[in-house]
Amino acid sequence: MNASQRLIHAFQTNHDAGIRPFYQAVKERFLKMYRGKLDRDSLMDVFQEAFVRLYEAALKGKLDEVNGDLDGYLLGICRHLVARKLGQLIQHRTEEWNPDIHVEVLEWEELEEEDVREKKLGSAFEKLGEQCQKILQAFYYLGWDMVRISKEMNYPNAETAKSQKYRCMQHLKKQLK
Amino acid sequence: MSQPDFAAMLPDYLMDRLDQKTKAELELALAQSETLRMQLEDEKRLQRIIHRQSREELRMRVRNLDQDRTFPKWKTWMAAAMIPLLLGLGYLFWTQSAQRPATDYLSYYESYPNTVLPFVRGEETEDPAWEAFMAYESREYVKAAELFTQLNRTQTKDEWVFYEAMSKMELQDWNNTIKLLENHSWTSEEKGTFGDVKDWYLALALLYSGEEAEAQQQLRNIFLRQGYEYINAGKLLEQLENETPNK
Repeated sequence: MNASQRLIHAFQTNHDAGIRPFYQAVKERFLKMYRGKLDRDSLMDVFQEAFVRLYEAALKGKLDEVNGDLDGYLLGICRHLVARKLGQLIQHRTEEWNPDIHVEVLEWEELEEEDVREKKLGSAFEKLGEQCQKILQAFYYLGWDMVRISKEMNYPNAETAKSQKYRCMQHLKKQLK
Repeated sequence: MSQPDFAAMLPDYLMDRLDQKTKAELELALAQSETLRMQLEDEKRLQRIIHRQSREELRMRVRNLDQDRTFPKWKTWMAAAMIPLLLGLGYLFWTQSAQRPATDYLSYYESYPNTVLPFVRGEETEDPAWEAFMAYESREYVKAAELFTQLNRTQTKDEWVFYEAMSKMELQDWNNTIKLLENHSWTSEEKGTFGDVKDWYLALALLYSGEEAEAQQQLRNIFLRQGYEYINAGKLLEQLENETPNK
C-alpha cells in the first residue's frame, strides 16, 4: 500500500489520526502559495471546502482513478476554487447592478410549500434509526449499489440490503403521512 | 404481460443506473403519469436532503481536523502526571492480552447490523421485540441480551436467538454465545438466513474462547459450502494454519 492508498483508506475508515498530518501539511503549503491573494479567512474557507470535496471523492471511491499524489490533486481543487472566488469578486465589483440579469422568479407560496415539505422530510429522516440512515446515505449520497452496500455494511447479500432499504423507505413515508 | 413497477425503478433512475431501454420506458411513463412525476419529485427531495445532511457531517469532520490542538499549561501538567498511570495500565493490558492470543483475530469481528426492524425514533409500539431490537441498535448490549433472553423464554425464533447471541458476543461472553448458537435448532441454514450467518460468528466465538481446533473446523465448513463470509473464513483459516503449523 503506497502513501496515497493509505490516505484513501484513512478517509474511508474516518481515521482522523491518519488524515490530520496530511491536512496540516497541505494547508500550510496552500496558505503560503496564496498569501495576499485573498484574506486568511477566505483562504481557510476555500481550503476546507476543497478538503470536503477530496474527502467526499475518497468515500465515493473516485480517488482510485487519480494518478499521482493526493496533495497535488487537493491543491488543484484549491486553485480552481480560488480562481472562482477571485472571479466572483471581480464580477461583483463590475456588475453590482445589471437589469439584464435573468432571475428565475418562483411564487412565494411555492417556495414556502417546498420549504415545509423539505423540513418535514428532513425531520422524518433524522428520526430514522442509525442503520436506516446509513443505508439511505450509502445509496443516495455515496452512490453505492446494493452489492457494495451489502459488502460494506455487513448484510448477507444484496437482496437483504435491498429489502432493508425498502423497509426504511416505508417507515420514512409512514412518518410523512 | 404485466406492467413493470415504475415507482420501484425511480431510485435507480435518479442514480442513473438503468439501461437505455428501461430508462426510455420509464421516461415515457413519467410523461403520462402525474403520480409518478410526484413520486420522482419526492425521491429527488430525499436525495437533496440526504446529500445536504451528509455534506454537513463531512464539513464538521473537516472542521474538527483543524482544531487547535495545543493544550493550556495546566492540561500539559495533568497529562504529564497521567503518564505513569497510563504506563501501568498499558503494562496490565499487555500482560493480560499476552494470555489471550486469540484477540489478535478480533479485527475479523464486525457487529452484525439489525436487519429485522428498521426504527423510527420516538415511534411507540406494543411489539415486545421492538424494545430488544432498539436496545441492540442503540448498542445497549446488556439490556438487549436480557430482553432477548426473556423473549426466547416465551417462544424461540431464529432471529431472537441470533440477536441474543450477538448481544452476548458484543459483551465478549464467548461461552454463552457458543451455547446459544450451537444448541438452537435453526429452521433453515440456506444462504442469507440466520442459520447460515450464525456459523461465521460461532467460528469467531470458538476462536476467541480458545477453542482453536473447533474454530478451524467450523471455518473449513463455511469455506467449503461458501457460506456467509466464506472469503474471510478462508483467509482466517490460512492465517491460523500458518501460525500453528505443528498443531
